Amino acid sequence: MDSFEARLQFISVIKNLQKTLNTLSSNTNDSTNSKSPNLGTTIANDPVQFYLKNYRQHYEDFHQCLFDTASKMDSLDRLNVLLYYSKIISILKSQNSEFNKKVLDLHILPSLDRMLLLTLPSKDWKSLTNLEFCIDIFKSLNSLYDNMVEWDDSINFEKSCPIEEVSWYTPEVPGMSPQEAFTNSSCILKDRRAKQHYLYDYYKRNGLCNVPSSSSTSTIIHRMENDREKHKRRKESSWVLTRPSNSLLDPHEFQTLWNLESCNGLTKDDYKNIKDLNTIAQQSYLV
Amino acid sequence: MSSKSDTLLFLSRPFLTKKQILKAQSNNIQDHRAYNQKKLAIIKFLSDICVQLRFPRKTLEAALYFYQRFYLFNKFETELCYTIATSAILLSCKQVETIKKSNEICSISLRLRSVAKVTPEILDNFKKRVCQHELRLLEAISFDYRINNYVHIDEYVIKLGKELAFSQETCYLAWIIAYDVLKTEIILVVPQHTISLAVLKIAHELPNAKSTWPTIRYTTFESDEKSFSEAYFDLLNFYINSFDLCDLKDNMPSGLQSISIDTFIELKKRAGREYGLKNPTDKEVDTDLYLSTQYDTSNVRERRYVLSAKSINSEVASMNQKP
Repeated sequence: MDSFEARLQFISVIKNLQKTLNTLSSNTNDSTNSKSPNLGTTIANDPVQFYLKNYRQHYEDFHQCLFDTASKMDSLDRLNVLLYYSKIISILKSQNSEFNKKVLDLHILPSLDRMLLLTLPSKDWKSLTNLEFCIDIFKSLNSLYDNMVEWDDSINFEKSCPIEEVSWYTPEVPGMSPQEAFTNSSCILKDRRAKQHYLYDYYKRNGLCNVPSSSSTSTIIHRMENDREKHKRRKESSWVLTRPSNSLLDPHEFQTLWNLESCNGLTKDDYKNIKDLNTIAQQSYLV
Repeated sequence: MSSKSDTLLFLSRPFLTKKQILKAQSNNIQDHRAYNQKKLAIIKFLSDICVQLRFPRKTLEAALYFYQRFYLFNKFETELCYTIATSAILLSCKQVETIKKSNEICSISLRLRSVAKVTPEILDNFKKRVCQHELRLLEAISFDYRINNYVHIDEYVIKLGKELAFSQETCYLAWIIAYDVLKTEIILVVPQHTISLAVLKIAHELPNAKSTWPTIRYTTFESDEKSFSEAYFDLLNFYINSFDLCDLKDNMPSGLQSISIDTFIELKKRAGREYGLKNPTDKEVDTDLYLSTQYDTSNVRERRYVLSAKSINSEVASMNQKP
């Protein structure tokens, strides 16, 4: 495949990410998803497989295409590109080789901040819907790289500033190394977090506010459907439990339950559920 | 039932006392020994499916509830049990939302039973049979989705264990005991959280003979003393009578001394007089139509299932009001 053909195909892959990129897990190290219940992504149209098959000759072209195509998309749609980007990173990292290291360290990782800026553009309030995903992806990439950057959840924002004059952070110099990119990324994310809380606070004080928005209705509806699909797919696989010893009494299951936040005691809902259950039982005996 | 009935209306009764269960089973199970032996094989079979398909334990628990409820209302035939069990786990994975496609479940089921070569045709026929039984299973549980959705024994062992500030070791022991619980019929009798409490009490008492168990715990956790005792003694009796069948003895956590039948006999002695749920009288059981209705489809036009007695009462009231 020559460079031009590769680019064309890659662009169409990116444009179809909405349909093909169904699972949310950005930590998967499986390059094959044969065990997933999601049969919508076959090997033929799996975007990650396409990249893995062709990146050795064309990784530079792909890198450029990624950013070019994403910059032409609506910011609501760009989240899929970011997800794709992060999946590629985790797969390349898991397949440890000199070549992969070179591709990652010289090309892909240093552009992380650019990618985040595309997903969370300056002065684009509606793109803040992407924020939680961006933070999750950043945190998982950060831990994949041994916590290159410190992350804390603190939020500082200027309450009194009027909405038109709020300033949005952009890194002065785009990252040249993975370290710089990660640092810039964490600054971008913190800033967007602050903007998000600023908006919540503004709404609480002033009610609905008018912000300029450039998305068409159909983009918004597509994004809503996409989110719904993602949530559905996530639910489909979030319960899967591996038992390393292949026994039903594998301690791993107990450990997982023990560490689960929802099993930390009884909530109000739990009390309601067991109360209802007890009532049903008592009525059921009819004695 | 009269021979001219058009409609059967069933009130869902997801939990039954032991006497009621025996009555229902007497209509359908001729050889209890064969039934119980097969049940143990089915538990192993379903456990293997859960390991292969990576289901959590709650899927197994719901499947066993469905399987046992099926044989309260349908004749037991040894050749069909594996099909019914497959149907049960297909239904349970929908109930507890650990969905897997029926193709996968059916093909694993055939593979685990050493069916030589699973052609697409064999798989298809099996799938059809499994789906046919699904309706019977749903009727056996009266389509009652309120059970087996939020409250599961293993999860509540941990939740209640943490509420009671038990150590991780105690809860781990309780979690292992909770697997043996599935070999008894107690899930048909008392709700899951009561079973979890009983399991926790045993786990608490095993290493530490002189433990206290304040009775306030029953009302605090929406249970009652009779249901709790029913579960507690049922489990002790299982360990005393069928110690060889239990998984606890081979999976004792390290650090705890090994247990034997005598350990449980001691526990039972210390627990005092055995008591449990109030059982209905023989007459009440014999006249209880729920336990004796045969599923005769020939002269019944429709079968309806309701979840609350209020629906039945209001329907009867409106029927009486009609001129």
